[in-house]
Amino acid sequence: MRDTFGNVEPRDSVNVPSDAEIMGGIQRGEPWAAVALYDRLQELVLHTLQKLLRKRHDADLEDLVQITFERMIRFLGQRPLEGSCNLRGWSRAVATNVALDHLRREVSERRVFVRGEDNVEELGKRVEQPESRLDARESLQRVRTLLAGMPAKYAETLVLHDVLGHELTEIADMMDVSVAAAQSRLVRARKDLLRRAQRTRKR
Amino acid sequence: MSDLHPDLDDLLKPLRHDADETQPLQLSAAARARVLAALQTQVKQVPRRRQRMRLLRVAAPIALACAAGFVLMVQRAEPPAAVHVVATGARLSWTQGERAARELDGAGAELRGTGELVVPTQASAQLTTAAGVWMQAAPQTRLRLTASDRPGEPAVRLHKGLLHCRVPKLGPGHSFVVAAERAQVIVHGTDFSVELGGRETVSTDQPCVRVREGLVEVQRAAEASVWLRPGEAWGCVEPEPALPPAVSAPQASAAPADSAPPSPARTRVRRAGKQAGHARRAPQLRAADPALSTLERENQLLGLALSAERRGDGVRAHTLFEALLRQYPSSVLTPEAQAGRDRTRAR
Repeated sequence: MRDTFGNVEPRDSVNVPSDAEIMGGIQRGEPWAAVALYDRLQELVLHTLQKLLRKRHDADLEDLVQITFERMIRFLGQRPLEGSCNLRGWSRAVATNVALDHLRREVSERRVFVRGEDNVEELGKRVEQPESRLDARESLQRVRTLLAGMPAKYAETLVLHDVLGHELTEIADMMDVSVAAAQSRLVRARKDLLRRAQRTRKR
Repeated sequence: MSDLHPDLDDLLKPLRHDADETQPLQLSAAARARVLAALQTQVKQVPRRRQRMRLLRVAAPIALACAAGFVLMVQRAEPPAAVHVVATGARLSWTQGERAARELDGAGAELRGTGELVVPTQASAQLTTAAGVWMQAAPQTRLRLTASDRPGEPAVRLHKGLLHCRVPKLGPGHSFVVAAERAQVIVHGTDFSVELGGRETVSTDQPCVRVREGLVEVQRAAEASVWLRPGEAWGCVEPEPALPPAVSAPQASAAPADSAPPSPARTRVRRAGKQAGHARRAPQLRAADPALSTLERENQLLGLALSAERRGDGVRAHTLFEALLRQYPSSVLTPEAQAGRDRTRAR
């Protein structure tokens, strides 16, 4: 059975392609695979980006979603995921990476403090008192700034483990490193974040 | 996350809150369509990109190998050292391997590669290398130019005759070599001549080396090196023959631009070593010879003084040291001369 693009769609009785079929489709350059990949992972990607960036739906967020999927397609076009790494976990790692890149760019452009209100809107809504809202906003801005200043591989490992709750084995698969290396990165990342936090507090 | 440091836990808490539930977890239909269109375009390009990568993977090592081969080829094809030669008096003969001999006249020519240069009876030849080594071959001289360890510079093998050389100061680790029968004359910047056969009184198997300036090392197989200082000679049994005017007066200012000898390096004369005893007495050059430069005269005076001291002629040595100090008080050789004067005065 061929789709509107003339490509053979995966032969699944309910037309739900497996991860492997999607990856194969991408490698063969079949457009249905892009649609399938997006539909399967867009909620997860959007959730990760929103969690880290606290963004309202706007053109910026659309761009970040697109960038995340483009990175995934570029990677999968070169080689499929190996071992126990699954698309869902890996997509969160890619989204985290995109979000941290975005944070770094924001910090370097010194927009992070200016545009704080739309980043922490939803966090503030949970807290009724204005003082608490202000505190929450400042805390979020602070941790984001600290993360943006950290080496990318450390920040990514820390967010995936301590914020998004992934296991070290998953992170090792996502980042294509050994579990020991992932653990080492996590330990170093935590130390680095604490050191940076203490340094900013002294100032 | 239970093992997390409390400070770290506090720090990350704001990020752990879930995003606002009111925010939909999908883009609007229009945004979805836009993103999907871009992704589908990208996916269509994947096979082409993969093919390009495959080609690159194959082509890159080939390109690297080609580049390496090209570099090697260029290195090998580097033109051999060029020597500019000008004939005086009559034509010279230049022979390379099996090729027919080429005649060289006064217009000058570039000699490349290995070959043999023959200077006939009525001629002399001036040779200049890229590094500024200047040589003058006397009549009836036969020499061979070959490659040396110094890129672009030849080495010289003297078969017969007299070769006068002026060598500018060469870079560290580099030297100019004249091989003559079983001896090699190695130079680091000086003015000297090598003679082999040619005259009845000059040996055909041992060269005669005379040094005017600087320091020259003569190496013979299985023998210790002999170091020659200004005014000293080795292997010579009679005074230096009269050379054609261009040879005996190699003044840079007087010579034509294309054949002007380079100014020699200002080489300090070293103290006599153990091997200095091998050096035979140098011909007595006249200090007032107008053809000699100031440095040459300084070197000559010191050389003569040292020779006299070695011979045990303390009075003459003392006089010569004094003369050097009086005539050239600001000479670089002053410390050597003062030391020599003090030594000979004590005797």
